[in-house]
Amino acid sequence: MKRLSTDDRLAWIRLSNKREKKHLKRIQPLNNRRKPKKSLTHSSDILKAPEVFELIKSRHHKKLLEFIGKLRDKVLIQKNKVIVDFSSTKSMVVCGTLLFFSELHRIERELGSLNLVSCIPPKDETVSQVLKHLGILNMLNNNSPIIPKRVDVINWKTASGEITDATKVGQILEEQSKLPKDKSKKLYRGVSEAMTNVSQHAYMDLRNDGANIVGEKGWWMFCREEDDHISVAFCDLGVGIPITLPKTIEGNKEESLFKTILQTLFGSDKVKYSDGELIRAAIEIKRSRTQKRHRGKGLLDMIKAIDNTQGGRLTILSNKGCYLYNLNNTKPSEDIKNYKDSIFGTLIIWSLPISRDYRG
Amino acid sequence: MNASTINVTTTNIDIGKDFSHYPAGRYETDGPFNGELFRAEFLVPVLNSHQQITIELDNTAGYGSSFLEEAFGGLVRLGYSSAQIKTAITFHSEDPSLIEEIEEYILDAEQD
Repeated sequence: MKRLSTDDRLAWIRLSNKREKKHLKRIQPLNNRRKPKKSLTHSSDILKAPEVFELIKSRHHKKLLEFIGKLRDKVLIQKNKVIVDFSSTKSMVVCGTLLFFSELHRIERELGSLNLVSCIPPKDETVSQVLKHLGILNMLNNNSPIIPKRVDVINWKTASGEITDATKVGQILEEQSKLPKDKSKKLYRGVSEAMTNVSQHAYMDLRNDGANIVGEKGWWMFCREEDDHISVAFCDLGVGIPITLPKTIEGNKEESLFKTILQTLFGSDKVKYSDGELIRAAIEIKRSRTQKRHRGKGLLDMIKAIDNTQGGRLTILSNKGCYLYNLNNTKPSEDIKNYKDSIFGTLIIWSLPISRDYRG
Repeated sequence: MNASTINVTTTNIDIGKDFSHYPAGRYETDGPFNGELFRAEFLVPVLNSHQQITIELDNTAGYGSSFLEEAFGGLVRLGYSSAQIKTAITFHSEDPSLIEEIEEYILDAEQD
């Protein structure tokens, strides 16, 4: 056998060491291996907020509800940390913003705080001001120094509660300088009835969002006065009209009347009706779940809020359905719409044109 | 405020000033200024004492149907007839449709 030279011997030793290390790495338990450094993204999920917070257009509806659903699942159900990334958000519309606002408050109420949630603030100045003005940035532990100054931001007013106390709502409506008294009273009628529905029907069962929160109640309201119209939106996160309505007619003599109404309205004898169709039928049948004639006028009150108001609009979103009522040229038009995703609750939006010249 | 703190021999009840500027809700379990409470505190004592009163409707932020129906239609469910109610109560409002609405609730309750 030939004797190894010094160089060969050293090379052989190096090769042996390399083989030894490889072998040890193969047999070493996974949890003893050196782990990579933790970055911020590994301790919190980043949840990208949509560009537009709006619910009527289908594409916006889908994206907003996907975002809200993920937020609810990760924070409320899984108790994970989340960073909400508003950097791409460009528009905050009343309906979508109210739903998000309500869901945040619900999560905060249930968990006792929103310490699990932080945010990357928006790049858009107006969106920043809206989020600051509504208190959302503070809720998400962001102490932005931004001061809301835009007129179309600071005129957003909010109210919320768990019982039918319309004091704050009435004060907000009466403060709207461009809103004539008769229209203010009609809006008050609609909102106070929506509030009464919350007390009596909206939370009759568990909300079907997987959170299984027992005994909850709550309503939230936005009011926003702009140059030529006023928007008032009211939200509850209950079971929705499509759930409470079947309970109204189940097992009593009005069930056949209800079926007749549905067939008359939608021209077919379906086994299952969409949420939009059920909302429309709820308005038509003029009843509440107790089946007494003196009950159940609340939904009609909501239409009365815009009656005789040229250009007035009422939108009722409940679960996957949407009912739209417009008053143009004194003729009302009604339409229904259905979405793939549910808002798990009810959101009502009144929009009334107001005069630029009205001084109240 | 309740009926015992106002002079029940007066002929007027101003809902907005004597009860609440922000009436809302049907039952006492709904909220603080509901129709059931207004009926119990203000209307029932009037009917029981055979007084005649005028109710001022205008000085509130508005009314929901639940409040009005429970307050006034609810009198019929308690056993008062529409004739008794009409004799005892006169309504005042600049909005005649509001008075018509209340009268309709009273008549409908009698037919139920």
